Amino acid sequence: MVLDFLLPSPPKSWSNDKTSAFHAKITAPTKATIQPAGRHFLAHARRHIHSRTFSEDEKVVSAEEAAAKNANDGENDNSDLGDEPEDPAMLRRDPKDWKDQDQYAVLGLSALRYKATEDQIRRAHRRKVLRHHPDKKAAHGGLHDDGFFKCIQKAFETLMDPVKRRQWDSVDPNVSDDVPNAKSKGDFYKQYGPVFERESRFSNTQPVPQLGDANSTQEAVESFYDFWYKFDSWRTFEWMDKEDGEGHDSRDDKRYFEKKNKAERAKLKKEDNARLREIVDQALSLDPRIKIFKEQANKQRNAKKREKEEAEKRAAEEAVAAAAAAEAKRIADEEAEKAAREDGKKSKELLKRAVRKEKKNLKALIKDNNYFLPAGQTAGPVEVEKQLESLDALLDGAKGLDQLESVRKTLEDGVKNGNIAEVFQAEVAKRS
Amino acid sequence: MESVVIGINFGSTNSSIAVLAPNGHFNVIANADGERMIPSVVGFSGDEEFSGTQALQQAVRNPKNTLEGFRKLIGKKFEEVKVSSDVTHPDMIVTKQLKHILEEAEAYLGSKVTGAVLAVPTYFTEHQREVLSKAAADAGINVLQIIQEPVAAALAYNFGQNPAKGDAQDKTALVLDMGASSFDITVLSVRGGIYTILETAHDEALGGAAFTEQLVQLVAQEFKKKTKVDVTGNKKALLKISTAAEITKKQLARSPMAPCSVESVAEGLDYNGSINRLRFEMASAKHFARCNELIEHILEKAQMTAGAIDEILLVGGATRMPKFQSKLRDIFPETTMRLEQESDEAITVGCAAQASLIAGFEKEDIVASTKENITVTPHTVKPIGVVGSKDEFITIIPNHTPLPAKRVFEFGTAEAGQAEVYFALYEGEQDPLPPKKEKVEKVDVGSDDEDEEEEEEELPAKPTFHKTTLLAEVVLKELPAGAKAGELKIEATVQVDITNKLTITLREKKSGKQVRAESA
Repeated sequence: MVLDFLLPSPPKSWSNDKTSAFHAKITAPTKATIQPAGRHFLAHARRHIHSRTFSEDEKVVSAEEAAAKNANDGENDNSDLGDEPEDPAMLRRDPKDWKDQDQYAVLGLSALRYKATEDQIRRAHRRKVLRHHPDKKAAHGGLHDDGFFKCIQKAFETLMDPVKRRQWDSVDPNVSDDVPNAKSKGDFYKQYGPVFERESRFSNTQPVPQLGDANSTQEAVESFYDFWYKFDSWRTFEWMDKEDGEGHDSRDDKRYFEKKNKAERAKLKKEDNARLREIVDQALSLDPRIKIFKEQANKQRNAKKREKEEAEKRAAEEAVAAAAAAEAKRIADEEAEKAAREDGKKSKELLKRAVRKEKKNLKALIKDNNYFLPAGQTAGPVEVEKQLESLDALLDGAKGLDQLESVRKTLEDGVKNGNIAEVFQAEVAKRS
Repeated sequence: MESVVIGINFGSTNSSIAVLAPNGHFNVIANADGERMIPSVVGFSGDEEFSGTQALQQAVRNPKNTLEGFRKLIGKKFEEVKVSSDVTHPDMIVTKQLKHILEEAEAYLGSKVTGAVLAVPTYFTEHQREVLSKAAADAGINVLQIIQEPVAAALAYNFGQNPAKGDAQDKTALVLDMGASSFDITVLSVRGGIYTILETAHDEALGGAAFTEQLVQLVAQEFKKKTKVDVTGNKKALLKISTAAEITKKQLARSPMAPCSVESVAEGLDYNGSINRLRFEMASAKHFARCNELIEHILEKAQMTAGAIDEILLVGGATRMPKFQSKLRDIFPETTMRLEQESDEAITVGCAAQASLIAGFEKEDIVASTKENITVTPHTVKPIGVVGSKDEFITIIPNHTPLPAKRVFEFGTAEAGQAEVYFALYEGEQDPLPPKKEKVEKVDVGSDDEDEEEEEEELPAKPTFHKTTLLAEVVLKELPAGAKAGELKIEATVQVDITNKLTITLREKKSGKQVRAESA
């Protein structure tokens, strides 16, 4: 009995050197009468009489049980064969029709069928013989009817001969030959798993790969279908041969029947192969795993394609970007150049303007200072003309702003000093 | 020789026989008249003797020399008994009846019966049991054992035996046995599959017959109303009505209305009518009330609440009455009511079960095992248990457990990586019972009051316990490391032996590490 209860660690006060402590006695029990009935009382009495403890008693009892079990095991254990009831119709069968009888049912092996081992067949046969032997029946006052016994013997003969057993297994009407309905819905593995398991029995190569389940690897699934498409079947249809009964003594007749049987066998075999093929085709078309694998493959392919496309796109984009960058650079360069040029122009103009201004200043200076004539000399038009011509000459001689500025300064100094006329003359002489 | 054992319920009104069928079930076998219930009736008519069904049939015309209910007379001195017929000694009648039963069983089985188990009521004295045993032996029955009726019923219901798992449960049952002519109540505890009777009560006036009597009264009144003929005191007429009423009563248990017809009740007049179940229940209300009174009385005597009863085992045909069961629900609204056995066959089946259990033993061994040195044993007075994480008391060995006792329980560890576990064993005491509500008799019965009453109704609580005395502490050390919380399973074995010695074993299930402690 499990209690929903967890045991804690010992309390802190617990001293480490002891494992147990008893504190009080149980409240004194009262005497009472127990009822001497039931299994558990028997156990109680047994313990009391033999003065055993609980565990000792358990040991003794289990030993006794084991001994009893061993004694039982000495007999043949036929539990694996099951215990199927005998169909009364089967018991009345005419042994002449033994070919049509269900060989497994006669031996009581309907549940096992092709899975029955040789040992199981042998034991089942023994069991049936013990029950149906004509002597036994006679002893019980029954009629001397050995019909079913003959059936048993025939079935045993058939099933113990590997060739004959294969022939019978091939045409066993009690094992389904159905092709599952492709349209029926339901769990694929539950539907087809047993079908393939059933068909596996006809394979020449063993073991046969089975359908597996949703978790099977792609490799396993592929090898499964590969195997089943190349299925090598031993299934044979000789059991269905028309008897070449006693009536056909002549060789021709015999040959005729042989030929006919052979053709029939070939036809059935062909049909069977087609049937199996249909099953495998159908399974393949319905297999959810195959669909998944296909999808996965598709996905992979698509992924690769997309990757490639993306790479191309990226390369193209990069090229475009590079071209654009080059273009931009070129434009920038050009613009810089242009700007530089424009800058030059502007400075020149400024220079010119400065020069012009300087010249204007000088002209104003000459005008304000009596045209640089020596003091006392009035400026007559002739003198003015002459002085202006001198200035023009001076200005033409003084190239550049610097010279003009120095000229202006010199002249201004001259004005200040009052000897402008001489300075002017000297300057004109110097520059022109 | 193969042993053929049967179970016999020798009832005061009816007897029955059960046997183990090859399919493992217990079959109650029918007598030659096709009745599974064989009337415990013996009749004498001149040189002829009748028993069983035949005796019952001739009872109407031969009431003076027909004996029934003689089980109650077993073992009583002749002077004490006032039998209407002085033909013979009562014990001899018992012998005749048992012989009849044995013949029926052997006719059915087609082989000699090698042994039988009989059941007797709990109030039977040792002397009465001996007399019965002797009477049975005289009848040619090899009595293997005589067991108590409630115990047989418990066996039939497999109460607390739990054969599948092997560990039997600890439970308490109320066995209600209402046969034709008595009402026996037993509080039966099962501890580790062993039964102990805690309390008994019985009322010989109460039983199926008392209810039939009510029905007879009803019919007699009706008959008088219809025909103006008074049958009071007319023994023969009443007996006729009674036979019909018995059938009607059984039908009323199944359907709300049942016909009752008696031919030629008195003065050549027939009675034809039907009885409503409600009417019958109203008429016998006092009997139903008496039943509940008796049950409440026994609970009080046993110092138990209704909640302490785990199962109710119904035995005897009269417990089939729907009103009886619904009245029981007034006291036990929740308790499991076991109905799967045919209630009037439960005791028989239990006897057969016990018989098949001991069929292989020697008679001397059986006698030896039922001697007092084995059956009288100390019982625990207070429950022994552990205290859970919420400080609640968890019972391991309940009170009323016969000693020696052994219980095995499994626990987990509380923390991850716990290296040591601590196990403390306490004795418990039942929490005081909730104060009984005084039943206020209401004078005016209005619809409002009824509603209130329903609201007030509450379930009888399961008795709870609280820890009192610390008995022992045990520590299991060096547990395997690295286990998660609750992963390690600790098996605790608690044993109390007959001398009160306490043994505690703690074992870690995976590593097998264990510690064992024994009290002085």
